[in-house]
Amino acid sequence: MPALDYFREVLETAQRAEELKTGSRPVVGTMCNFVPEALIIAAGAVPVRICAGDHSAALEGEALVPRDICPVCKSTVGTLQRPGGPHGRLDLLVVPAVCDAKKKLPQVLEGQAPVHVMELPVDKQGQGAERRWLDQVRLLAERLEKLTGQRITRQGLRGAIDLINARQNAYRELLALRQENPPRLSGLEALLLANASFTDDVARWTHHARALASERQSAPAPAPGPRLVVTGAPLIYPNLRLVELIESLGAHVVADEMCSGSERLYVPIIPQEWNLPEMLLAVAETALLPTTCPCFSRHDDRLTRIGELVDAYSADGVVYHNLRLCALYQFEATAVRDALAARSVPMLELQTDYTPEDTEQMHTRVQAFLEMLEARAPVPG
Amino acid sequence: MKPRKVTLVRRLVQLAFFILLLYGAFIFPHPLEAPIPSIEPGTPRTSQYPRDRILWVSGKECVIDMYLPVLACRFIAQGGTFKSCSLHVLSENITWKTSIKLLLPHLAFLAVLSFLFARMWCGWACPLGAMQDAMGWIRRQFGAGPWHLAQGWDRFFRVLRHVLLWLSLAISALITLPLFGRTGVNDALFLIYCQLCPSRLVYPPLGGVNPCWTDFTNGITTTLTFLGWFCLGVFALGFMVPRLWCRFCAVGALLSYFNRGGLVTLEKQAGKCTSCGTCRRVCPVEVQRVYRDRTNPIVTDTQCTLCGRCVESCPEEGCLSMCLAGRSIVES
Repeated sequence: MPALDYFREVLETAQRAEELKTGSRPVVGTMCNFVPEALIIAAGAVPVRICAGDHSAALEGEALVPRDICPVCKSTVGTLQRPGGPHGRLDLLVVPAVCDAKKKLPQVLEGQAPVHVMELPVDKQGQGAERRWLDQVRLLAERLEKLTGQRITRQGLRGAIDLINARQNAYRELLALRQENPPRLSGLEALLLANASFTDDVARWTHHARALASERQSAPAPAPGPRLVVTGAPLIYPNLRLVELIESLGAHVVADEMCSGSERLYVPIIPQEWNLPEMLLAVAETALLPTTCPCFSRHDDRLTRIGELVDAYSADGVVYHNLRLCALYQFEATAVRDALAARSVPMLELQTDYTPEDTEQMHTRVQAFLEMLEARAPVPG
Repeated sequence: MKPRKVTLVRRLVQLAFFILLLYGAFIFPHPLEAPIPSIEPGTPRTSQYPRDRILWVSGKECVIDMYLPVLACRFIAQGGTFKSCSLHVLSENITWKTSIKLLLPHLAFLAVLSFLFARMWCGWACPLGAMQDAMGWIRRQFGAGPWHLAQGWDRFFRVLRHVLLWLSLAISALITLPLFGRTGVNDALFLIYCQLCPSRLVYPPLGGVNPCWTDFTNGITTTLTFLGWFCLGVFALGFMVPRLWCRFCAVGALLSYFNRGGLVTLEKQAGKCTSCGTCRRVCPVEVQRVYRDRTNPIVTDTQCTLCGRCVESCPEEGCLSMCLAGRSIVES
C-alpha cells in the first residue's frame, strides 16, 4: 500500500473519529495553530484542529452565524452541529480570538462543548506582547489541567515537545523532496498530509510521514512544469480544489505559505533549558512569533517568508488565495504583490469561496497565468 | 534536534584554558625567580606590583611573560601561565607612567588578539566565564530555573560596565596627582578595578593562596573590601542568572569595542529567519539583537560572548553563521 493512502484514510474515513470517541483521553478542539498542541498532549489530552473546509457544512452553519463571515468559520460551526463529526467528541474547545468571527464564535459554540478563549496580541513583536501571550498560555495550561485532572509535568511537557519536534523534522524531510526539480512530492500531497495532521495521532502521523519520505526517495520524478508557491487563506480538506486544479494543468505547487499547510508543521520548539518555565516560554513563543497570520497588524514576517519560499524552492510565480469575506488576507494581498513585483515574480490573486461554482472561472485564470509564465521563461539554449 | 557541536568544542576549549591559565606553572615548570606573594592586609599594593615588575623585561614570575585580553589574572600568583589581563596592564602602566616605547609592543599584541577574537575570549577562554557556566550546570542539576534579568537591569549594566572601565582607567591616572591629598601614588586606589574584580578573590584559593579577604587599614581599603565582596556576590548570583558577571565586567566592556568591526562576527540572513525566537531564548546573556535585527547582515551585539549557542540552535539552515573575516566557519 503506498504510504500516502494512510493520510487519505485519516481524512476520508470515520476511523479516526471513532478512535477519538472511544479513546480514554479527553479531546481538545482547537480553532487554529495558535493553540500549542504540545501543551494539550502534556496535559494528557488529544489536540484536534477543528477548522473545516466542507461546503455543505458551511451552508448549515449559516443557521447559527451570519452569512457574511468567512466560510472557514461557517463550515466549522456547521460541522460541529453534525452528530459525530470528524472529531468524535469534544471535551473542550480552545478558540484564539484571531478575527471578528472567532471573537464571537465562543458563545455560539458553548452548546457544543465548554469553550476557552485565548487573547492574542495585535502586534506579535510589540511591547510586552510575548509576556501577555505567555500569560494566556499559562491560563490555558491551568484550564487543561483542570479538564484532565493531570498536572503538566517537566517530563510530560518534554515528551510532548519531543513528539512535536519529531513531527516537524519528518515534515522537513518531505519538504526537501519539494525543493527538487521536478518535485517528488506534489503540493496536493503535502496539503493532504498537513490536513491529516489536524486530527491524527502525532506519533503515528510522524511514522507514516517518514515512511512516505523513504518511499519517495526512490520514486521516479514527474514531468517538469512551472513551479508555484501558494499563499493566502487556508485550504482545508476537502476544499483543496485550487491546488488540484493548478497541478492538473501541469504546474507544480512546490511550497505553500498557509496555516493549514506547511506552517503548522515547520517550526520546532527549542527551549533554553528543559525545565517547566523555560519549556512553557518556548512553547508559547513558538506558537506566536513565527506565525505569519494576517491577524497581526504588521505583515513584514509574511513578506520575508514568501520571498524566502520563492528563493528556496526556485518558484516561477505565486498564487494568492483569498477567501471571500476574509478581509485580513485581502488586506495583505497588495503588499505581497508589491514585494514580489520588486523581485519580478508574477502573482495571481484569486478570490473564491467553498462553493464549487467558480471552478471553471478559476481554471481559465490559472491557465492564463501558467501560459504567461511559460512565455516569460527563458528559451532553452 | 541538531547535535550541539559548537558547545561541545567550546567546553573543551574552556577546560583547556582553565587548566592552562590557572595551573600552567605546575604543567610547565619554570624558574620562579620572584613569585608574587599573596597580599597581606596593610601591605602597600604598590610594593607587590612595583614599577620594575610590570613588563616582560622584568624577572620571571609566570610561565610566559605576556598578557592576554581576558582574565589571565596576575593574582593567580604562583600558578599562572600568562601575566595578566588587558585591564590590569593598562591600569598599572597608566599609574607608573611607563614609557610608550616600552608599552607599545604589548598594547599592539593585545589589540591584535582583541581584534582577532573580540569577546570570544569571554565565551571561550575566560576562566571566570567557564566557572559561571559550571555554576549554571550545577543549578540545572537541581532543576532550578534560570532567573532572567529584567530589561531595565540589562540596559543599566550595559552602561555601568563602560562607566566602570573608564572610571578605573581615569583613577589609575589620577592617583599620582597631588590633588588626591598627597604626592606620589595613592596606594589604596592602586589597581582599583582589580580590587573589585571577583577573580582577585576567586582565583587565589584555587591555587592554594589566601586572597586577602579583608583589608580594613583605612577608609578606602575598607570601602574597596566591601565593594569587592559585593562584586563577588554578583558573581555568585551567576548560579541563578547565567553569566551575570559577564554583563558587568569592565574587561568585557573593553573587548566589546572589538565586537562590532572585529574579525569574528555573527551574521544573519534575515530572509531565512522565521522569527521563531530561538536565538533569543537560548542566549546566555539575553541578547535581543540577533532576534530583532532584520536589516544588518552583521548582528554581533556588544554584550555577545560569541558562544555560538544561537548558531547551533537556529532551526533554519544557513540563517545564522559565525564568520571569521567574512568567511563562515559555523552555520545553523
